[in-house]
Amino acid sequence: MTVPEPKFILSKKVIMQQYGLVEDIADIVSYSSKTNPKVTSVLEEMTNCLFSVHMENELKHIDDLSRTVFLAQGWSSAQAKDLYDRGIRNFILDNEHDLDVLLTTLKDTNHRVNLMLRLKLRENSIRTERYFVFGMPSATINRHIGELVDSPNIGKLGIHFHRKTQNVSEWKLQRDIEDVITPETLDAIDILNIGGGLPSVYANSNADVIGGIFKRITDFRKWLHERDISLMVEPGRYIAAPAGKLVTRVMAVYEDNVIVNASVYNSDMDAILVPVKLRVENEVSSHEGEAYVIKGCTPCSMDLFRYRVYLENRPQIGDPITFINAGAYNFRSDFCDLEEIITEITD
Amino acid sequence: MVQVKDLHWKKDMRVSELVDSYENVGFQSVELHRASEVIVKMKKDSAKVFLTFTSNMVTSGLRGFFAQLIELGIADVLVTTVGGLEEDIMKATGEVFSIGTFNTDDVELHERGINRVGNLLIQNQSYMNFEDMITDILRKLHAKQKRWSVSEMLREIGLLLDDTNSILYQAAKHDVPLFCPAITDGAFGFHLYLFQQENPDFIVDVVQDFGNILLTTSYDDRKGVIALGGSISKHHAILATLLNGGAEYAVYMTTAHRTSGSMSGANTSEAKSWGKVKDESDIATVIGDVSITFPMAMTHALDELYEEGLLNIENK
Repeated sequence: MTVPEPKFILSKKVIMQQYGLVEDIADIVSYSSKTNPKVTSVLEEMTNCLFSVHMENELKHIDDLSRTVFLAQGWSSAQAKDLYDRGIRNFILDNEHDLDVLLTTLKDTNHRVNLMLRLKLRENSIRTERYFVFGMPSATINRHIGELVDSPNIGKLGIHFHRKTQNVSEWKLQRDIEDVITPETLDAIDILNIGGGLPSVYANSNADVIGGIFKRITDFRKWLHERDISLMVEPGRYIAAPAGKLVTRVMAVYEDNVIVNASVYNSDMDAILVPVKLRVENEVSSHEGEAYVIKGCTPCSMDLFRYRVYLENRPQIGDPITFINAGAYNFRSDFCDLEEIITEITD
Repeated sequence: MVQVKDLHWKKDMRVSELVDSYENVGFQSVELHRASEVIVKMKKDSAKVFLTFTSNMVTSGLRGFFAQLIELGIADVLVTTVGGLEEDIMKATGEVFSIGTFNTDDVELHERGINRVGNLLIQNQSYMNFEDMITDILRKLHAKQKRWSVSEMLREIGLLLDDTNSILYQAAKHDVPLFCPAITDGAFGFHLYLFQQENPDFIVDVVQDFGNILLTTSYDDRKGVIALGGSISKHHAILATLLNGGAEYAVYMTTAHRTSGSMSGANTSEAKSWGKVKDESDIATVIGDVSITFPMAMTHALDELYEEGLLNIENK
């Protein structure tokens, strides 16, 4: 039997609900567009938020580029000039080389940009010992802020630091900043930007922590306001994830295995990379149902949505299996030539 | 780079404040602070937490602390050695242990029917009382069913106890599985053997329990291990996490050193070579007496988890 194609359903209503929650705790919201560019269009139409963008290719999702915060890395003077000419005025720079490029480009012009320097903030994780961590050491930031504060080419000046995505513990923001940023630097900046997103709810995450994180952000904002500094946050997942569902159909059932007509490779690469585990709509507790492995449609052993999902009734071919909180980082690869799954935007 | 900062005493200083300051002191104090942070992380990240400890810690006053941690929802799976279970039962039924010294006349103690665990003392009489009681318990179990996995049996025993400071009681009450893979390695094991001689159909199935601990978690779960001391309790937990993809978080606290090549001294880094903890896991290894290090690290962690409403404190 043939079954309907899988699809994503993205709710504008939930996007706006989530956006509203973030708007309440921040002075500036900049949606991290890479999380789900389809959400970018909705937010551009319905809010006045900014959009954090890393790659030029992503700019096609934004009509008004003056709302872009561009996180440059390894750029050239020509690229910097081009982005400026296209209307981008907000930049985040990751290293001194990129900063030199910008300052050289702006020199002897009357151009004016808002600039944030990216701070390499210590994270208590092996993760950051293994991989290159973006940003400049605090001593470099402190020095450059002092030099930039009177520059005629710089409007608003700030610091960006990137929190580990889905990091649910390291939110002692005030302590972290006080440890490394001098009082003189705090006096000089206008904006402090928390990158790295806010968590969302998955089968293997703890929703109870979100209240604590919001409280810490609120306390941090109060502390910043006492220093005339605005707080910018870059939620991606927190807005996009709950707004999206992935609706698949059961292709086959054998023993305790359920094969659906989608793959983590074309809908939920996050399951491999982070890995987050999407909850299934109507899944029940271990006392109420039978355990099933839900597998994607490719031959790859990594193509697993969940190892143990408890379902009340044994799925049948053609039944829908809907994954909730599936709106973030649902990017795809070209593995097995899998087709892109369409997204239906609803009100 | 975080800088070394001088430690200063404050009047009425809280444990949490002291441990906070450890972050900047150096050596094992930094690791202790880090251990506390990793424990907070594993709870905030909804990891399945495997708490393992050796029997000597139950001999000590840590027993009630472990029971409280179960009640507070810190541990999802427990692994220990059999001596701790015996002593937990003894204490639950009124036995009291004493504090002596490390330097004592052990021959004299033996003559007086006193057994020494470090500087703690246990009367032979306590074991005799335990032996009287355990046979009755085994009769009840046998009447109920003939074949028990170890964790099922321990749960059943926990339900028979009435002591909020008991590990077995709290584990049973809160449905936290308690595993003891070396159940025969103590007085309890000896009585299981004797009981089985009289009742050959009474089987305590250790192998079945291996399956039970594997099924307490899955590849879907994030996993955290808090291993206090070494031995089989530590190994059994990290083997279970290894077979489910490895732990994301691991805190080891021990006096053993890695140079011996023993399980007890193996640090979290060595565990990575086996895949027992993931390459990208958050880890801390604290070398020091667990009776000192664990309550400090855990109190600091509990304060933070309490502040954020992440402890199971209903009905309190």
